[in-house]
Amino acid sequence: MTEIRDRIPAAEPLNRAPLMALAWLWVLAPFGYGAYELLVKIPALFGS
Amino acid sequence: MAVGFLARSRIVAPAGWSRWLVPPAALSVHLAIGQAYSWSVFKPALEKSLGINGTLSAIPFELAIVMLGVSAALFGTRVERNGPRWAMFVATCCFSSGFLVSALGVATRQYWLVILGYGVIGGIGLGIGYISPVSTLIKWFPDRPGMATGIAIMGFGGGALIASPWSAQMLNAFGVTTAAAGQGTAGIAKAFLIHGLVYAVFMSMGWLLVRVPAEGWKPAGWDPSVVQSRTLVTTANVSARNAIRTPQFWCLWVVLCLNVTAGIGILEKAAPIYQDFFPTATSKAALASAAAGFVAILSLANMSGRFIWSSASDRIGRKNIYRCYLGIGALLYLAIVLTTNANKVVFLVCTLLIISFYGAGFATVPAYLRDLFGTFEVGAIHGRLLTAWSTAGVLGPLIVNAIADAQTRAGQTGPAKYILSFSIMIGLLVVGFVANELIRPVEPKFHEPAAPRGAASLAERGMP
Repeated sequence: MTEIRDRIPAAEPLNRAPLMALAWLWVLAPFGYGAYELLVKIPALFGS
Repeated sequence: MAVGFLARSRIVAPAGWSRWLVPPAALSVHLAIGQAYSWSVFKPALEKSLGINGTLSAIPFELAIVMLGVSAALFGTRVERNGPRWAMFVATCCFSSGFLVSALGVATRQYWLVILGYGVIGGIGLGIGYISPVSTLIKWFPDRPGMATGIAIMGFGGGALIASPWSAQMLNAFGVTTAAAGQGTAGIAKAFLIHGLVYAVFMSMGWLLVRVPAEGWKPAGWDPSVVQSRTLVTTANVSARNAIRTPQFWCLWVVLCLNVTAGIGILEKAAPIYQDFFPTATSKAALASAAAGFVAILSLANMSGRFIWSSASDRIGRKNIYRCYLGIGALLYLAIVLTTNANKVVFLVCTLLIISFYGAGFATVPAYLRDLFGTFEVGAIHGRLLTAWSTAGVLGPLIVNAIADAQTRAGQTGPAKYILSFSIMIGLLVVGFVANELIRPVEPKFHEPAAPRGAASLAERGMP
């Protein structure tokens, strides 16, 4: 049992790559939408 | 004390857990509760459909901001004791159910339910959610606490960025914007209902993913003595109860309050300020679009300042960065007072920097608290400090609006309407600068006894 536990940490970082990608996508996708909606308004500031 | 799935002991990170999974957990809460800043999207719709005035339609937002400060102060210690999963779960329940109660209120035309739902219940969610990841992030990133809290608190600024267009498009799709006076309640109720459900799902990522570091964990290759050799960075810990008895806490309270008040001076009336400074557009519509562009670019500065300046504070020190926010901020206001609308580029650069310092003031303060009071109850101390935000939220708009109205009555037009209020902001920033200069290391009499208290507290928290 102890041996199995000792082996887990070495394998875990690779297994968490999809979780890492999903977690960042989860927050960056809506953030990207908001940033795009914001950026399209800025040109009007320099057009007047 | 939280039990079972929500208990702190259930979220101690196993070996190999990446600390870079914690910022998205924090962001999923902060991006959601940051929706509060886009409440104005609902105001015209509520006023038209329920026949209420602007003062009444602003109450849910104002109450939510007051409840943010009050609940962060009241529940800070409990958040610290029960851990981030419990706090994020409670924040999710309160924030989402606030929308659901509001939906019921609009559907039944009982406006008091909107005030109770969004203002009180949702406001409690704001306060608990705002402080929920702070202490955890500081513990995961002892080498870069300013950057870590900067990411989370940038999310609070980014919340409105997402919610504003999303809510507006939803109200439009439900026919609320084109509905006749007295109509459209069904569309608003539906929008509130969807907001509540979507935010409940979105915030779930936070409490499912968040982990606390195991006792004794530190980043690979990090040497604590490098950070702790700086003058203000303590190796000791101060409890939340003791922290509010120190002059350092109250100096920092004044610094935060005045920095926020000065930022709100521009943020509160950004569109009218731009239109009064540069009324030279070819048409009314072009002027309105330019003002909307100005508000947008300020939002971007507010958000990016939270990350950039807060991260910079890890290198140049917290006291020095606040010298910049307050000292350079005062000089920038002075430049606007002196040049008014003579040069648009100067005006834009000054206002963008002022707003970036405003946002950064929020983002850097948890790391400043960590430096002064240690990590022991930094989340709870941060909660108590947020009462400065509630105070500034009243003080800032009061100064700017009252003076602008008085100047208008006196026949002033254009930039002249704002010169007095901007001059007052310079004075406030100078007072804040002096308060920052008065901050010294906390006296040892306020420190927690090292071993016994630490051991007891860890045992209470169920940590190994």
